[in-house]
Amino acid sequence: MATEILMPKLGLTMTDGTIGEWNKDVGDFVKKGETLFTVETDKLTTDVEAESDGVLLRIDVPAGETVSCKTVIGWIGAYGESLSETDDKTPVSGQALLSKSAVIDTIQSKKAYDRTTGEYVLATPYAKKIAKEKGYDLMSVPGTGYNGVVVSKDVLNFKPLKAAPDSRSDISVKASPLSEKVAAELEIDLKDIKASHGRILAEDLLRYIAETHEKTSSYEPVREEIKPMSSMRKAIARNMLASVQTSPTVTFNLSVDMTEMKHYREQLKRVDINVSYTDLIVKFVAKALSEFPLLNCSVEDNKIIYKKYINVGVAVALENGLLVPNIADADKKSLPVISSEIKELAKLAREGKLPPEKLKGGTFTITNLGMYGIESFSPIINQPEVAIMGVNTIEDKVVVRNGEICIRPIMNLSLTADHRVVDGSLAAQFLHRVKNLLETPALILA
Amino acid sequence: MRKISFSEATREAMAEEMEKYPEVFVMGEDIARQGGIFGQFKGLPDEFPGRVIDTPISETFIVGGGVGAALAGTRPVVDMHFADFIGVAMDEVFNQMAKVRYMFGGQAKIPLVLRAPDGLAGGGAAQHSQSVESWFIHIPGIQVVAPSNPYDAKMVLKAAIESDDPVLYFENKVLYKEYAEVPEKEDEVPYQIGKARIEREGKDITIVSYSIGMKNARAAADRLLNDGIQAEIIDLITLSPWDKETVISSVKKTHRLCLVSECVKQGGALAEVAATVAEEALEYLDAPILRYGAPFTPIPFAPTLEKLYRVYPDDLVKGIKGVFQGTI
Repeated sequence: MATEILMPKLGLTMTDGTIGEWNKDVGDFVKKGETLFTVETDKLTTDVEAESDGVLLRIDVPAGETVSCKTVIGWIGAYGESLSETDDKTPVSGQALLSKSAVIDTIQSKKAYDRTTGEYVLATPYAKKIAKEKGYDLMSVPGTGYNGVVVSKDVLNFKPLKAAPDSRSDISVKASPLSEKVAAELEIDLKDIKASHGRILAEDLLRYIAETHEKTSSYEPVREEIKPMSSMRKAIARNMLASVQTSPTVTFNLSVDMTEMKHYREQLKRVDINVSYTDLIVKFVAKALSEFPLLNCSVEDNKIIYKKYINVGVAVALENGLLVPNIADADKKSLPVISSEIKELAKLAREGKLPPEKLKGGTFTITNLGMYGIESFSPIINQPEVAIMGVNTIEDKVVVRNGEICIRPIMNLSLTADHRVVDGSLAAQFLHRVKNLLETPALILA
Repeated sequence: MRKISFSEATREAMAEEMEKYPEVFVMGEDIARQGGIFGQFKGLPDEFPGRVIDTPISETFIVGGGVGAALAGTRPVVDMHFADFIGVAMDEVFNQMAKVRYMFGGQAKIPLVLRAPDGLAGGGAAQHSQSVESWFIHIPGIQVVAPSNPYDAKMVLKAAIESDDPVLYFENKVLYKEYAEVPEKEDEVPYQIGKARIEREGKDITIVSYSIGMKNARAAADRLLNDGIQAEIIDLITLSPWDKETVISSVKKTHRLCLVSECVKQGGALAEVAATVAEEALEYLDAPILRYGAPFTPIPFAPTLEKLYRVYPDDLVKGIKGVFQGTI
């Protein structure tokens, strides 16, 4: 029984999606969990996995086309199964119902019978005619036509494997009995060997073996492997390149003394509010952003778009890529809310279930590489935002406070800003304000 | 070139033939006083007094009388008002009109034209909208024609009147109002009954149609160009005897066949084309034969349902793209 493949609804606000590509062709075997197709929304390309094993029977919506969520876009079923019209549960218009593709009707009865093998080959009469003329076995011609049927194009493009010629039987090569025997054992074609004395002798054979051995041993092992990019990788590549081409950037580094923040976090912990440094930084940066509208804007042509909302994006590293969901109105949310939201978003991102709307509308991004001990880096802006703040590791360092040497937990912040709108002094003031807030957590109430 | 309507083209054909042959006359319901309900006989009664005759409401008489008049040496053109009404005169049509010449061993002939306006005209419902051509292509002894444009309408009607054997002339009610170029009389090329015309050449699929179905064929072919599919369009014009050679040689070139007509798909006129291609050119087909027609149901009156009943260019485009899957 064939099951339909639906356009997934990847988020609450998602109404329709575009098929990026089908990773399988009609007729291909599909394993549950394998990527079957990709869905593109304006921000995200999501790989969609097959929900069951089977053969991709039919593609109703080809790549590049946009349909609404829950529309039937294809069918998976058993090998050799054909679709009947009753399988079609799509809410079709009456018109479509009446005029129903005549193709499917007809295909039902279009099974060719190959008497020699006792197996069915789905092929058009014209494909059969050409195959017969060319002497091809239709069984070995892959079908790419409608419903996987072998059509004329398949036969015309088909390159049969050449049968290995048996040289020993048809061409007589003069050779000594010994060389003949050894050649047969080593499966060497005597035709390839040059005779030095009218006929091939053992010494010619040995020379040939030495030469070919040399040649084969000089082959390098394969040192490169070419693989297509995943759709997420393509999106990252596209976005990063576009960002570099769009924004002239400067990266600013500033160290922050995290002593007070550490205490603050421990105090919260004591009352069972467990938050990460990322959560805290999102909260404090949101406050700083509310004071620096130019870091919370975007640029379009010669216009600056000031955003009256602060949506702080948090970069989430995945096994094979990266996503930046954002915390909407982070300046208006309490720490525990921010914290639980980040946890939830990161979880969804890792499971590939992130609703696309969570990737839209960010106004500023925070990317934390502190867990890897990174001390400083220059992140790339997540367009169309104008700044991104890298968070580095917190490390105990020897510092001077009030003329005395002491050890303090120090963290570097790396702010990359778009110089089109954020000048150096402004970026410095902003970063300083962030430092100020992080070093004096009580200011969050001020 | 001048543009005239389909109905005007048939009127011109009538006038020219009546001028040329004094033995041509017309009879039917409401044609003399009213000029025909689609205006196709307008002005003829004044031009040819006494040769455009109103009859009582009796199809039996109209066809039977026409057959008798033909036997007596005239060339009658008789009008059915609506193709749907032919059934009343069925014995006169298929036992008399179609068989007399054969039964008399060729000693008599029936040069009669039976004009039958047909097709969906919007709200005509189940008894005034039908396309019944397929009933008659099953009857040896009747030539069945169904032109798709004004020029053909004129030339096919002239050829029908000049034929010594009976011709059933289906004229689509919606096409009456269509205007297209029709050459002046001196530049006309006569039509030979039984000939199809390749209206547009293409290499990828042959679309065969006739009458109003041609509108679907043309629109679908236009859209398919966007997908790089070049459709060849054949206007069959004559449904019996139909032009097998033109269709088969086209299929041998394109390897695909799509058939579209407004009549009910089951047992439709083009089913014969599909069957013949399967018989004589099966090994040239690289895709299933696609067939589009009306569903097997009486024609509904409700506009919404009538809309569902129709075939649209989109249906053809979808089906044709389906058989090109993996190729385009």
